[in-house]
Amino acid sequence: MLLSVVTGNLLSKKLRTLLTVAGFGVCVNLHIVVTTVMRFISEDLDMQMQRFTGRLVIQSRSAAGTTGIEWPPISSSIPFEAVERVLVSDRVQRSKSTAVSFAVLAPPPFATAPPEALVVGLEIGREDAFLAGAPAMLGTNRLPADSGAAGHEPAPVILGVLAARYLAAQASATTEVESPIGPIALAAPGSDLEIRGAPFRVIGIIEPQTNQLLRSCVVMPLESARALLGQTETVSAAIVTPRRTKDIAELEAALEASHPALMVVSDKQLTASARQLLDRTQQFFRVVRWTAVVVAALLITVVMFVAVLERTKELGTLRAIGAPGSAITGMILAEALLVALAGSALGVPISRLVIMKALGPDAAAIRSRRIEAQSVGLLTALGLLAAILPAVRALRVDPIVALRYE
Amino acid sequence: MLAARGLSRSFRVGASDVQALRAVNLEVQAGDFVAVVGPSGSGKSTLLHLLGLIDSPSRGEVRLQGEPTGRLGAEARAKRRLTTVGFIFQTFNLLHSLTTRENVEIVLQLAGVPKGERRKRAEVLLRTVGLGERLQHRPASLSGGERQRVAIARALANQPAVLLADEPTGNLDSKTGEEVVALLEELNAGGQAVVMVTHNAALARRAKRVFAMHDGELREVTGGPA
Ligand SMILES: Nc1ncnc2c1ncn2[C@@H]1O[C@H](COP(=O)(O)OP(=O)(O)OP(=O)(O)O)[C@@H](O)[C@H]1O
Ligand SMILES: [Mg+2]
Repeated sequence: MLLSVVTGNLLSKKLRTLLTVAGFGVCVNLHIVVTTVMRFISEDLDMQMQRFTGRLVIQSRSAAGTTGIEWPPISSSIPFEAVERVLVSDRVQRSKSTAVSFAVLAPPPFATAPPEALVVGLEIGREDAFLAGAPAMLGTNRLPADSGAAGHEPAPVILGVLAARYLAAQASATTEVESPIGPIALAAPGSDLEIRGAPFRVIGIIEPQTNQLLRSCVVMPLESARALLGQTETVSAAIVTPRRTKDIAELEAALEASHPALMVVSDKQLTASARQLLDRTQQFFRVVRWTAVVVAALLITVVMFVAVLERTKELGTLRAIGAPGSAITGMILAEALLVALAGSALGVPISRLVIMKALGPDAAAIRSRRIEAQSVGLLTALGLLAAILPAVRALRVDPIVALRYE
Repeated sequence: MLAARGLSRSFRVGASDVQALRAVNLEVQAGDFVAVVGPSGSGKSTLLHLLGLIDSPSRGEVRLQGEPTGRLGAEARAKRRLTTVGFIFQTFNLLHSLTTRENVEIVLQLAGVPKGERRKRAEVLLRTVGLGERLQHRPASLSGGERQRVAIARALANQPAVLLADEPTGNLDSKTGEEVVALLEELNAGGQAVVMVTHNAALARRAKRVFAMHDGELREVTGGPA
């Protein structure tokens, strides 16, 4: 019965209830989305760095900007001839070391992500320096041995899923695959497409459960990438794996000594730099997240205060006919709880849509029920706390004053 | 059963004190029907609020079923308002989002009566006040007289020792007001103690004892109005 009074009150002010629920829902949505993006970026960085363990990157000094070491070193450019000298060193494990050329085909889907489609030129037979064992979902993850020769056209490409989705529109054939957001069309293995005017043939799609960088890559023979970029004397960078893992520090020191003009970045340095950048991003996200929490709590406080004030007569009547204090506070808290739950019921589905749009099909898989439950739990609990002040105010309604109400 | 001794109540308004009630004595016995008449502002509502434990006196005390109430805390007073006194307001004060039956049931729920029983009791009470056909109506779709009868059923729900009615006919036309007083009379005939405030002398005459309130002072006008 007390609950009917509560729902009756909510229904009697439909527009206000709707707006409050919507406001709370937006906060819930924001909290879930931001938490998920934070988790996604952090986990993705871990996965990227895991594949990079035991490797060195050689890049130009200019690629070390004020925001840390650039990864991937897209804006770097180093003499090819210097790279060739490094790669023949007997401390270097040749099969897992390669010169690399990068070119951006499509901008990042969100600020801290790699480009949605990124050309990665690799030496044939040395793909693992970059792919680090990432398996193929369709076709192959190896560039054919004879495909580097000039005039061998179309050149082969191996695509990450995001790149394959991006290139699907211009591919001669597409294939549908299941994804967390339903079936999506990818440029099919065997199909032909053009990249910056040059013809290519898709030969494989990389397994998506890797990381955002691998999902975005368009792997092609180094020579094809250099031709696309017009890099006649240069490449973007080199990825170098020492013959023995424990020699990585030694190799780094030796390379730095022999090539003072280049920058040698170890896996540890890169991880530390990326972490630092990540921390700064996370700090911003944390502020956004707390803003959502504070706004949700303030919303409940203000709305419930107004509700208590305009219901002086009803509350005073209840008090006059002998309702205990617990019934009065219970009513106010129940009303706040209903608003919070309705807001959550609205915010959670919206957040699912937003996450799929923002993070792409595979990233959507990381959207977890746990984050949703935590966000809903936190905001609902704080919503209830925020209703305590109005509830106490409701307790202080003097029945005599209420009975004098006209 | 319900007794007021030396009851005074003053209100602070700005710098001065308004003496609304001056040393009022009143004893209500089981089965009594007491009417209080008096001009507007004489202190009738103030007295009823004190008797109903809605307000606290500045001096004097109210005894409810022999128990002094001066030292009771807010929750204990609420509990007695719920179970031992029934209050009827001039403005009905029903909960607009509840149906007729729910308006009666709610005080039973607050008193901890189990669901099945409170439903039955609410229906019996509403039939007693002649609203057996209006159980699912909401207050907005009831006439003034019907609303006041719902309020009476609500006040009776927890079988109070005394029914306190503050101008129960004040917002009703004379015919409907007459019906409401007839209902109170009928309840009193069944043993229910009633204290009714009114400024209608004719209605007051229907009570067993009539008191006149003037400037916060109460005196009995036995044998009819002054
Ligand atoms: N909360 C209050 N604050 C200040 N003065 C009050 C308060 N309540 C009552 N009074 C004053 O006490 C006096 C008695 O008021 P009360 O409401 O008891 O009169 P009443 O006899 O019920 O009048 P009416 O017939 O108009 O209802 C009045 O002068 C009123 O102004
Ligand atoms: Mg009055």
